[in-house]
Amino acid sequence: MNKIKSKIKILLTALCVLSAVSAHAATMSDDEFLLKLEKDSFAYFESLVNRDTGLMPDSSRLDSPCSIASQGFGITALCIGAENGWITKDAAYKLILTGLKTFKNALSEEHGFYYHFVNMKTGHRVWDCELSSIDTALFIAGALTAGEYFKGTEIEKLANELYERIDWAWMLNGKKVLSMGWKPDKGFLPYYWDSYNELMILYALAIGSPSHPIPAESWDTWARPTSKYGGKPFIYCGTGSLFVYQYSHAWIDFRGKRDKYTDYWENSVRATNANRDYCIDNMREFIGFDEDMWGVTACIGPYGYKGYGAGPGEPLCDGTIAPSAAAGSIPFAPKICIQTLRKMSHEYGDRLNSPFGLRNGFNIALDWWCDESLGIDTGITILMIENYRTGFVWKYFMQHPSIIKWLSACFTEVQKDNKETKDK
Amino acid sequence: MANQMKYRRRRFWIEPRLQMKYIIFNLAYLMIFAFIVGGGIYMGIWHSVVREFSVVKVDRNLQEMKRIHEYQIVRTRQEVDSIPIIKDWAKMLSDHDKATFNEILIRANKILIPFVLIAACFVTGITILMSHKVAGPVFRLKRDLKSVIDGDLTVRFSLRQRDELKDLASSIDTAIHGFALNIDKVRHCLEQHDKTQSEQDRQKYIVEAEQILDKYRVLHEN
Repeated sequence: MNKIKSKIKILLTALCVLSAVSAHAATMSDDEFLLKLEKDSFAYFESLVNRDTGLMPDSSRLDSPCSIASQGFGITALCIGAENGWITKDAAYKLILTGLKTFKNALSEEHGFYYHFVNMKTGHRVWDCELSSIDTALFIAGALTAGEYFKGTEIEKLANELYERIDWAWMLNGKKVLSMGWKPDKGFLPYYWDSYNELMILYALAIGSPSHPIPAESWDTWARPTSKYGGKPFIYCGTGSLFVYQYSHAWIDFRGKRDKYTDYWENSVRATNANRDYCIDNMREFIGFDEDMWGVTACIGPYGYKGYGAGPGEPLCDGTIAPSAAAGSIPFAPKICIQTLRKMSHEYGDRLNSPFGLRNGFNIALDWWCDESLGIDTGITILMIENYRTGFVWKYFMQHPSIIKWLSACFTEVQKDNKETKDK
Repeated sequence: MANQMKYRRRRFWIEPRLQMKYIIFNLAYLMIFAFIVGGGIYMGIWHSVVREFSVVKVDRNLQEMKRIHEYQIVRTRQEVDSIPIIKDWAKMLSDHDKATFNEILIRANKILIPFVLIAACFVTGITILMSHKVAGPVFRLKRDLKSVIDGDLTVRFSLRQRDELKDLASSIDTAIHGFALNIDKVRHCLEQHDKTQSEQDRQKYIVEAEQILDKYRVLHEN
């Protein structure tokens, strides 16, 4: 009898503790919640970086290769971490510098472009992967941000050196749009960055290059198909993956700017709202979707990594939700995104929370919960939360001379005071 | 040809103790060398192969390959068809395995080359030490025999305790000591021959000297 009583006491105590923790989480302010999510996500890069080479992994899975896109996000995340005091500035400086030196000395490059995936210890190309234009651009975006943050140091010098080494004109392959990549045995890939998606950061860096730029007219050569879902029309990507509306914005502040086609900030706001509307409209088909449980983007799903998306277009959807979809759109629609993330954390925290923030994807209908984190998705979470909170990444990246050059060449309206984000 | 046949060695085990000693030493340090090199090869290559191609590692590689292929499909919005995928995967895996073997060989060389150099230095050192036990006595014998040729029959060959050819030196010492004694005897006979007045005694000393000299056979040049 006494044993049973003591067991009941232990159980009640545990329940009280759990309730207190949940209650505390539920009573956190939005800023506290975002800061915690951001800091937890930061741990991905800080703990998984290879300290000898400075290279950052594609995934939290063991023996994952380095993804150069993840490297770009990671370098920027280290700057954010230093600014927030999660890592000393000196430690961040050393890690970033080590990584840049590895890129300069160890990674194979062709006309300044790098292979998409490389070995974490040696920097050698792995898995017959392609020399990737977009991933090189994402890496360089991170490097240049770090260069501006650590101005006047070896990081700035090295970042600009690596940027100026890139022969963007070569990647045109004689065409007006940039190729997706190149392989030593096959030459240029038969795929091009010719229609709206995450390509804006790529063209911005290519046009703004001080050493090997492509013509400013290249900004007009890629297609901008428009359609609408639910609300107002916007320039869309056929796959409907939300990340395509976010990646360029992680570094480029499009607020208050227009080119002759559109306001890309407003475009991403509309795409975010359309993504939510799509999930709400498909609540009956996919169990788990609702007004505060949405977000379809490319992520790991029950059947592997898929390019999930939402309308308009011909999206792939099986009910898998990616927390990074909402996290990456916080600046565009803070209220609905934060609400969704808080609900995910509160209702499914025991299965979604990980040492590196929220896991990459989940499917409520199939009771499937991803057991790993991806660098690019963790990265977009950190960068966009920080941009929403302080505008940190935008502040440093936008002051680079090449970005100023690209803006003046391609944008008709550039307001000095950036607009506040609209919210639904 | 007949002369060459005349001088050809018929018995291989001519100095069994000396020959067996060197055979054992050579075998011993060659086996140490082989053990070091073999150990290096095992550590460098075999161990890496076993580790890199273990079931766990192969499974992880397959998952990684599948993931990277999925990235390509998503990025390029390709249509998915089974047979091209299998062909793609086979090529990716084959290229990855080749690269893995290449890395293993590079790592193995990094371990093996220092091992081989160290082992070679070790073998060279041992060989120098061993050969010095023979070369040293040969050098001293040559040097001291030169004195003998110049007429100094008081020379005695002294070698270190661990040197080889001590028996040879002892035999040469005995031979030279014998020469010296007999030369002394012949000299004594000649001195007595010169001193004595008696013809009979003179004859006696000549015969004695001839008896001593008759012990020695020499090659006549004509």
